[in-house]
Amino acid sequence: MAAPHLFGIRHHGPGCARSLVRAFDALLPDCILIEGPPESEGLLQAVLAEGMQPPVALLSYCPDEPQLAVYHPFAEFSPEWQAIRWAVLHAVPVRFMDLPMANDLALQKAHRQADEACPEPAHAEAPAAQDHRDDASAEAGAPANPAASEDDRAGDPLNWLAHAAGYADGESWWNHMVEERGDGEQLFAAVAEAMTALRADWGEQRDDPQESQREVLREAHMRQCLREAQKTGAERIAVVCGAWHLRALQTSVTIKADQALLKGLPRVKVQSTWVPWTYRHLTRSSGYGAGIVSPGWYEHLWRSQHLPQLRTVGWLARVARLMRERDLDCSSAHLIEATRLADALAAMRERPAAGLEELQEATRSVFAMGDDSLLHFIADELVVGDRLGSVPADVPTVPLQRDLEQAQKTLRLKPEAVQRTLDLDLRNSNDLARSHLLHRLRLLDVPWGELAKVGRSHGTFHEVWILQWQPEFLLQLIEASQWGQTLVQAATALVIDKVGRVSDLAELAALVDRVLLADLDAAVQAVTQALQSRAALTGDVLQLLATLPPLANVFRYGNVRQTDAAMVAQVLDGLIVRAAIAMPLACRNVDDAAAQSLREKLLAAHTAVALRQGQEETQAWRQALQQIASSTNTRQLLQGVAVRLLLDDAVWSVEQVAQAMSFELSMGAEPSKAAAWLEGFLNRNALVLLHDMRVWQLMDEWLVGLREEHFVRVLPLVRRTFSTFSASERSALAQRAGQGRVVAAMPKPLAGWNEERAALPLPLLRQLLGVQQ
Amino acid sequence: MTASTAIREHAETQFAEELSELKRHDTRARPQNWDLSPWAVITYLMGGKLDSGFAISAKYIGNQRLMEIAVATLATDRALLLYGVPGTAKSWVSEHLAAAISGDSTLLIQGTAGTSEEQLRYGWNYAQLLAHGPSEQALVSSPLMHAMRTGKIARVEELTRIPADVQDTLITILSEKSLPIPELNSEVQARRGFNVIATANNRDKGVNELSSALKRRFNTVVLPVPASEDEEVSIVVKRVAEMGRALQLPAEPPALKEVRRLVQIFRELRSGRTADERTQVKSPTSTLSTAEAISVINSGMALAGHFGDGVMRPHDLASGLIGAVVKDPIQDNIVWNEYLETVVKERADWKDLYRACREQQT
Repeated sequence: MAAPHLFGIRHHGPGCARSLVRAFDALLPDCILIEGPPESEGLLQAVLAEGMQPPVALLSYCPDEPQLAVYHPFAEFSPEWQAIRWAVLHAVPVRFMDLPMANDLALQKAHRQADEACPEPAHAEAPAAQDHRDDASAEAGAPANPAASEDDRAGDPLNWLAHAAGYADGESWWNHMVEERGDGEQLFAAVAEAMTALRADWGEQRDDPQESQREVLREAHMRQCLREAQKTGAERIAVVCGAWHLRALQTSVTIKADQALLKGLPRVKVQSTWVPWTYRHLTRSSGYGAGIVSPGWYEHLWRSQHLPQLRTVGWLARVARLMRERDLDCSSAHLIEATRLADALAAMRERPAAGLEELQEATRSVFAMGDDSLLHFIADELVVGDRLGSVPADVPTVPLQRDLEQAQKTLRLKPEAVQRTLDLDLRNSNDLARSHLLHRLRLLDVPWGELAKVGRSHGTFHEVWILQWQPEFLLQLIEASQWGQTLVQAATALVIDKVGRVSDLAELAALVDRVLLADLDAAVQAVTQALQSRAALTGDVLQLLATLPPLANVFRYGNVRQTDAAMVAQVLDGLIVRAAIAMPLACRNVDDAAAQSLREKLLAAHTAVALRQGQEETQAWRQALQQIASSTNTRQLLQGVAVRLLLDDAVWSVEQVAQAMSFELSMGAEPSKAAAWLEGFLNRNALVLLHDMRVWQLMDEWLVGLREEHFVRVLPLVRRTFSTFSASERSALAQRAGQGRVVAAMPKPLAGWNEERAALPLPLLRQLLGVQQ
Repeated sequence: MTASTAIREHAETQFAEELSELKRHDTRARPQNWDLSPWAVITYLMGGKLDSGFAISAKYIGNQRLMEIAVATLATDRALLLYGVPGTAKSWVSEHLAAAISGDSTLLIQGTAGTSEEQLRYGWNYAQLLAHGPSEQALVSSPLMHAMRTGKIARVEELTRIPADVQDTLITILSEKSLPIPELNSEVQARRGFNVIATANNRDKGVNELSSALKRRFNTVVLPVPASEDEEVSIVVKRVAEMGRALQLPAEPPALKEVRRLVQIFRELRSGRTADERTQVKSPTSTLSTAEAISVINSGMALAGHFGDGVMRPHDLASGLIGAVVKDPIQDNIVWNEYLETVVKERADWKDLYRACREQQT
């Protein structure tokens, strides 16, 4: 039997990929085994198909339970991708040799059920991240899941080697030793030796016994696949797998032992397909355990492999282009100097060529005057990159589609091309679920349903939708499947991603509303959290005030939709306090137009504060109103509004208000300002004059107390204010005035009160109001 | 060794022994006219042990990569601009770089609003000038000119304080590496090894903003504030102890708890997030440097010593703290109040500080 050629790689390492292709060209293997899910072998021919554009991922999932799924992402610089391409191009048989997903997912399911039986708080994370994490452990270059490596100081075994070599972390060490080097035919022997030695020291233990059991099974299956391939008579077998597994493939284990291990494993049904992937999802920070830090940089390394001299300059030229796109100065002279500095740094650190760190440092020093903000968008757009892959049109359907089909079936909501109207009663649980579904789809940019009634309040039990299914929704679903396998997962992940990019507070507040409507708990948390931190940083009081009403609405009417209002309440409280602190200042020294818009926001926010009914928050808010009311350089219109709100809430006594009123409207005051105050105070509403005795009396006393010349001066202004009232209000006011001051007294209760007769309706009233006697 | 009467020695004198040891053991390639190789310069700055067992003390406590960028910059003949908020050891680093590379840190031009072109280029000895007309003898060279002639490092402190038109004198020197003397119809050409290290304060940004032509001739290294809370606390405690002795403050040195709390407040406001990374806060316009933390503690100690019982308590700290944070009476006050109400108030064991701060304000 021919001994196999083992190629231990690191997933998504361009240096590994480059060396692998060269090694294949030299070896000309006649059978290639790759660490990957065997169920997907049928899809491998598609790598050369038209429309196949990495990054893409192989998605294996259980059709009955779409949340059971695993992604195997590939970028063009992934060694596995290059190995598959090589095999398909040279028509060499290629096999996947990992543990079948049918078993793996079944084990995962059992694992999860065990977790649910004894839930740990540490596992409370977003479902989308959970799946990536499970996938993570399938990867070997960086074994152990991210949660473990954070807790465990040893963490990534690469860190051990890196520390030994005097590097700060495994990532940069690996980059310099492997990915950024020019040579590398001898690479695999070296990697194999290092990893084998490392694994011998590291031991086989893992934090998670289930995880280590799974590892044992996977390696047993890999050995079995290798034996099978050897039986077929292939002479030059190439095995491409994570370097971590090399030792397991080299140790001799009997066939029997492996067979015994793999016997009787649970199975589930598995389907697989290609889905488009993004570089962002390839990064470790996206929750993908075998993720890499810099997909964009790796792509650059991969593409410049044949032109090493262009590596530094090419990268810096891309930085320069990015800067120019953002209207930042950047000349060719900058490029020359940055290249020289990067090369000098590499020389000082005794490296053959400048790596990403040197380039970033040169960029900061030469291009950016030491400013880090430029590096942030370079990190975002170049180091990570925003490439989105695509897959051929004829690949099988994705689980997200299945999840939707399932939901459509259970909720009896058929997709139809004709438009129809749907009236949902949200008290009915089926209708509520339908509403959630439609709202989730809208979040995923699949506008199957449009809300007919815009400006609908949360208080009503009805929602009217206009439904119409468009064929292109399917494409949108495929695109959205990068976010997750179920609608809930996908919508949650999408919202969480979006939250990071929205900066407008009002938009975030609206998003809170949307995710609450879609009933996405995890997303609600993320959005409210973001809202809170964004609010802490904003200096724009208008924005802050604008967030209050929608949130207060959600808080007040949340229960109608059975959503958790407590989450919102906390954020709302924080926002109210912040608004209360910042508001008095914002009301100062503003012009008329700004004062007008502030008035609207102030009134809406006041209603919101009242809806919240929090004692401390109301206190803070009222304090702010008092500051506005008594501050001298606040716009009179806003002062009037504040006094009025204080009067309504009985914070200020009638005497205080009377004093403020006579002060503002006194002879010394400029007539236009006095009128503005009055306009604010009356708040476009004559009813208060008609029904509130105190206000009427105050106005009356003030008017009567005016001297003639003063009266003549304010008359036009008062008239202007009164002209905003409706005709009927004005006539009612006139009538009231005609009755003279006598009516102003409180109506006295009737003297002859018949207790017996009055008691008669009480039982019925109690029943109606549900009051116990 | 004879005791020197100078209050403060130049770096090359103070660390003469270290420098000569380094030179003796330095076997690696040196750029022309450098006393040490770039690697030895890094060792001199960051500290370390030589093969002979001789220990080099650390001059800069912080990120080695920054020093590597600085040295690589100078090695590629680019001028170096050290940038940072006040109190981040910019001048300190520039002095030691010059001492290690040229063995001479005295070629210094202090940038002020009154710095003139003569101070950067050359002036005239007017007695000579009147007696003999323009000649080499009548020329009074500037430290910069001297550095060019001898191939050494010249230092320019507070570059952004220098008026913009005077700053631009540097452009020719940095790009052509020569200084024309039209009066004598000659020029001074810089020898290899010549370079310029400038320092500037990024709080003064916009005072005399560097022209983009000049900016382009510098590589910039930003020296950051201390990276970790522990590092900063230890710097503050050490400096407070030293200064307390010098100023003969009557109070006891403050408890570590109070210092740690103050440093935490400074760091949180500076970085715009709380230490537990859960809450964002606004940052005030004030610098809140380590040096300011030291002065707040000092004034707290003085208050406690002269008017209290000698032990520094939150209310001794509060006035200095608010004074350090609230530099702009309106904007910073909002920031401070928000921080007080949303962060300080929520911390159970910070109640005393919260009350003390509230009392100060009303």
